[in-house]
Amino acid sequence: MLFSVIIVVFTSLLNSSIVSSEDTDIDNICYKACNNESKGFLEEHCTGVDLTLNNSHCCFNTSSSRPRIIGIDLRGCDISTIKALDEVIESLIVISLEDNPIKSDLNTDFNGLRNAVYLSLPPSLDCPGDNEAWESIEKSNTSTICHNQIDTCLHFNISCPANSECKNTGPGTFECDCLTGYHGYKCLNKGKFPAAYYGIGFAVTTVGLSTILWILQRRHVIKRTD
Amino acid sequence: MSVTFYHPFVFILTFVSYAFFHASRKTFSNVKTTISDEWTPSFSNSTVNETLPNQTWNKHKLFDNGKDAELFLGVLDATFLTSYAVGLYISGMVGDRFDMRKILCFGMCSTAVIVFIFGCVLEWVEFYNKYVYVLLWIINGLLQSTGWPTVVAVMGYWFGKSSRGLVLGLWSACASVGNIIGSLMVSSVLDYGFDYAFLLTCSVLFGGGIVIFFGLVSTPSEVGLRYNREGKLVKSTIIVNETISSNDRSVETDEISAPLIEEEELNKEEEEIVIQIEPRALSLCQALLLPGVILYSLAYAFLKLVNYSFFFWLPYYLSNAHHMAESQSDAISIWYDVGGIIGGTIAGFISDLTGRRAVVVIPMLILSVPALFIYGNFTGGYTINAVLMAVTGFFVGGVANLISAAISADLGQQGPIKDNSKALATVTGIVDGTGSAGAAIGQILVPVIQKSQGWKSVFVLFMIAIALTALCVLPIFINEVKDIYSKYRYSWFTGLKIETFADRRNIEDDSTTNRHIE
Repeated sequence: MLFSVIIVVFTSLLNSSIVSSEDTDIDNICYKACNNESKGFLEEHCTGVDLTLNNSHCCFNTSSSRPRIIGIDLRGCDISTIKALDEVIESLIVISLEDNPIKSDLNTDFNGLRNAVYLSLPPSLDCPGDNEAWESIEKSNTSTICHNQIDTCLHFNISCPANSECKNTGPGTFECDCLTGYHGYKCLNKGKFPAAYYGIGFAVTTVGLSTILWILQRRHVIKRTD
Repeated sequence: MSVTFYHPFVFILTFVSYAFFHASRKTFSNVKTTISDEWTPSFSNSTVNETLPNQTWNKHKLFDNGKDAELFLGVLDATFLTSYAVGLYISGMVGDRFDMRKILCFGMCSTAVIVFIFGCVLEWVEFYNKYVYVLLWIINGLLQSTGWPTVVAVMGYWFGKSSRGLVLGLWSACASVGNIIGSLMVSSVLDYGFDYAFLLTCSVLFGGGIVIFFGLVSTPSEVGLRYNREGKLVKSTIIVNETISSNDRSVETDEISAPLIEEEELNKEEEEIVIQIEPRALSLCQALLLPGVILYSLAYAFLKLVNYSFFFWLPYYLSNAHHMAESQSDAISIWYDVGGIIGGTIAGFISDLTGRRAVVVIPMLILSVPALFIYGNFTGGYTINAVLMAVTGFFVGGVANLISAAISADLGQQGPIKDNSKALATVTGIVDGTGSAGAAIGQILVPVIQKSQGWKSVFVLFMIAIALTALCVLPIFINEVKDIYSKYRYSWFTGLKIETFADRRNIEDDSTTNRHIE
């Protein structure tokens, strides 16, 4: 018992420390010392939305209650992996990763990058999801630029199993999400069982019937004296 | 016979409790598709990889595909049937040795708990393990087997032999009604998840067990009633003693006048003081050696093979051989049940009138052979199929209902042991247990024969099984016919004599001695 309590406490501590370290990762990245003119890029691409530049490599959308990073410029930041972006990857619209020695597995690391319309990579890398996932790909000696992501669901005309619908989850990837109202494994369940009503109804019926039948029937049983 | 205020309640309570047992079995067979979905990962038919996210689509990997899952569900069915058959022998004996009401209550509540663990708890904690499922289903079979012997025994104690055929024939509808209740419960909550289908049936079963505990009067003697020699219920002052030696002491002290609701129905003269010795329960071997028990048990084994094959394989046969839609084949299989209930009731009624069961059983078995032959060779529309199905059910299912309920009760309460020993539940358990063993063998035989020889051969198997059933009942049939014939000659000399039930009963009470004297 005590042992399990200790484990629970330990894991929760571990979890919270991971979360906070990720937060600092993002901060570190946004304020990382890089060899670029970040403002130029972001000012060019982060237009038309309510944003603050915040004197960093990142631009934010402040229209929602919680500011979300929508653009990030990491040119020449000497990063080899984009794992640090995992937490914000869903909201990113423009990303620049040129001049970096990136060795990430592009197929999995960009999973979740479903809103991106502009992605620039070092020239050695191809766009994630290849040609099928982008409207146009611009290859030069200094960069690979992927323009306008294509919705995977529409492009491959994907049909999902019953009670679910296709959702684009990034360049060339998709998920089948349960339709509204459906939930559970394979979206097999719909609605919520009225447990409280049923429980009360069941208890009342059982007690009621037991009482009535006892009065009508077993009350007459002759007690044996043996 | 006199009907008291207790009779309808006993009828309804035992009927409903066995119906709930059957509902829980039906729940399992009706959620099989959903369960096999739940146990397997899904593979998308699209060009891009497998369906994601894994959490939703591929997390459960108890089986690779639906086919393996279905196979395992078949194994669970066989497991259940086997342990159920074994359990019937045990729980019959237990039923005769302890209070049947408590055994029934225990059986219902504990089955409910096992079903709850199987269907709800394991699903909620997402624990999937084949061996645990098999183990649970073995326990489930053992516990569920408490149901049939106890409810038949309770009915047997309350409804005397004169009306038993008719009453138990009607009462046999409880299994079919249970199936319908189960189907309705499943379809009403399956949307919420199959776990709620199990929750519904097991909670109803649990509640039923509690109601049985507080409401069921399991024998007439519990309320101071007993059957006299003429087969009438009479109010009796009971003196119960453990041993005869202590009689003298307790005669005065234990005298209790029993309350009776419809007192005017019973004559005052009929009231009698009986020194009732607590009946001793027969052992399994003793019960087995009672006249007719082995013969009827074997007969029921062959018959239940056919009967259960119809339950399990009929929908598959219809869709496989007749290319019928699932809903249509389900609807047709209901007609088998309907035929069985009508057949069991009519056969029971006729056998009540004649006072003998085998003379009704044999003709019905003979007629069921052509019925099976026609059904197996017939190709045609829905209506004719349904009619033929009902006819087949009338003969096959009707006899099965008669043997499993009324005849079992007769055998457990027959002449030599009527007043001084308890064997009703034990005998019912033996008959139904042997029958279930036959049904389990059938579950293995039918798919094997169907795959290698085709459906026609399956029907040939059914006809052979029916012939063997008839063969087992034949000695009893011959005995009964001889009995009738001898009486017919007797009345030839004394003029036409209408045999009454009382006569019949008197004869039967001394049947063993009389037959030799004659």
